[in-house]
Amino acid sequence: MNVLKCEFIKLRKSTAFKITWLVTICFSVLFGFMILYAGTYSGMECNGFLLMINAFSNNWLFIIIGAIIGGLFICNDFENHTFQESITCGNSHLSVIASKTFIYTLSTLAIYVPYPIVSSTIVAAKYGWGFETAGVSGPDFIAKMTLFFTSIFFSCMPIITLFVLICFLVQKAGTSIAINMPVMMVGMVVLPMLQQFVFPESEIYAKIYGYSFLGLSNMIFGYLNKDSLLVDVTMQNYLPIIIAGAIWSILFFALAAVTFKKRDLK
Amino acid sequence: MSNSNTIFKSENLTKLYRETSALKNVSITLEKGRIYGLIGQNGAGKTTLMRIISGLASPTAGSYELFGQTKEKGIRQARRRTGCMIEYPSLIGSMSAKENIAFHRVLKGMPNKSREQELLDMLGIGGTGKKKSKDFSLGMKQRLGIADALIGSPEFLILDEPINGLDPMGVVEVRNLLTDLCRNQGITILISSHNLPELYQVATDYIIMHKGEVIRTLTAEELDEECRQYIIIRCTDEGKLVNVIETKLNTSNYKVMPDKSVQLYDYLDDMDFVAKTLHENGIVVLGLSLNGDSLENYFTNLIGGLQQ
Repeated sequence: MNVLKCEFIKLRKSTAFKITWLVTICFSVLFGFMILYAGTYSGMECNGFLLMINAFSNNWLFIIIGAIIGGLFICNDFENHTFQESITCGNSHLSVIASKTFIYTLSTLAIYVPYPIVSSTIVAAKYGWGFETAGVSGPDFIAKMTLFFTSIFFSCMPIITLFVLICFLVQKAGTSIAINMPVMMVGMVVLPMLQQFVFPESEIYAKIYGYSFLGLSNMIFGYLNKDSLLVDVTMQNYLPIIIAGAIWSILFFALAAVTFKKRDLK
Repeated sequence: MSNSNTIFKSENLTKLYRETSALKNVSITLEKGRIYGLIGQNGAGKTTLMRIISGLASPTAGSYELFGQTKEKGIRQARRRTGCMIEYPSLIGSMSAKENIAFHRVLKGMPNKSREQELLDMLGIGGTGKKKSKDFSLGMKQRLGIADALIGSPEFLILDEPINGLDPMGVVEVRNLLTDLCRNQGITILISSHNLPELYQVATDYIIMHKGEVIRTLTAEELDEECRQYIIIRCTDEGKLVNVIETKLNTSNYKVMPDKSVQLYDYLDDMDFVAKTLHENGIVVLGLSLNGDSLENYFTNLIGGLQQ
């Protein structure tokens, strides 16, 4: 608990976090007004809910933020010897890395979440929220939204925990960001392009990439229905994503924890 | 089986980095209420030993106990009773001194906020205000690092070169602080320093390391005994000199050094008699003077002897 309290103290004092959060807000406002001006989004009639759901599922920004924040938040602690201090105080390696991963995920979410909410609110101010396009209402709507956001979370966690592993292996901010960014590019750009242009018919490639730690987030997007947005958000479609995300996340976290424990701290 | 006064005990502690032995079969015992000066050249293994004690490194072989705990979980709990400053003070550059010490207080789970200012004032950095620690001088960072190590009211303090970068006043203040902590609060301190004259004024015990091994442990009293005064004699024929010392001066209280000089521990008040006796017996004396070993000389001679 002491370690977690200290992570919150560092987050509160972090100038990098505050600046990144402000930049994201500004970007979100700009994006919202751009969509407002265009009047459509992805060729569809524009409304707040549509923009919000698409923004959450098309989560490349979340991963970019994670790539950069990981280098700053995690590796800085190696350079400040804060991790070393936590260990010499009698905290276990597991509690230190778990607290760090939790705060890192929370801070990445805190920086990212305003983007879909702010931009969709701006659009909704003119075009309305358009909840009817979700295709559901009442308790079913809440259940689907819960399932949707849970899937988003578990689809992003593998990449986040992979960044944790990279940062704990490398321990230098610049180097880890330099590795995180290409990893992100491979997952978000290169592999989807390969699927689209080289293996367009291959179901095997689609399955392997889709359930890999790099492709899970794209799977979410694939199940959104153009005409009735959340109609295909079902347990049958999304539970495998959640399970795959959980397995990858646990694997990368475990590797990071073992690496942290085995290596001597400088 | 260690007694309740044993803070730390190691048996054949070994640390290998690839093919280099940073520590080789180190077996030491640290008792409560003592100040242990850890002495050695660069690369002797001092910092490696401290890093293992504080949990920053794991030994390759051997075992150790901390506050009587031998299992990993128990040792980890026991580390809450220690305070460390190993190589560099652990500071968050964007925080002030007060914020840094508050951070370390929370990390160690200490509820007493009043101790923060008390320690900062004690270490002479109570008036730094909102100045960020990244803008501190080396000496100020060292002082803050020591304050951070003390915030948890430790029973065992591990300090790696704590007076590095301190001004002369700061050196005296830290010396007095450490002596006070040990004498009045019974805190055990393990301190490494290259400033041997300064260490001599503080330490109650010495652990001398060389190439990863502990080559000598001795108390301050034993060191004083070994560093006692002597007449140093240099001549052209030490064999003949030894004969004259034994037969004409009638004493065996002498030592032949590696450099062929002879240290005579008797007749300290009668050097004239010694000089006369040597001359009368055909000893060609190259040098004759009264000396006393300092910790520096003792250490230099010890290491020099090993390297020959």
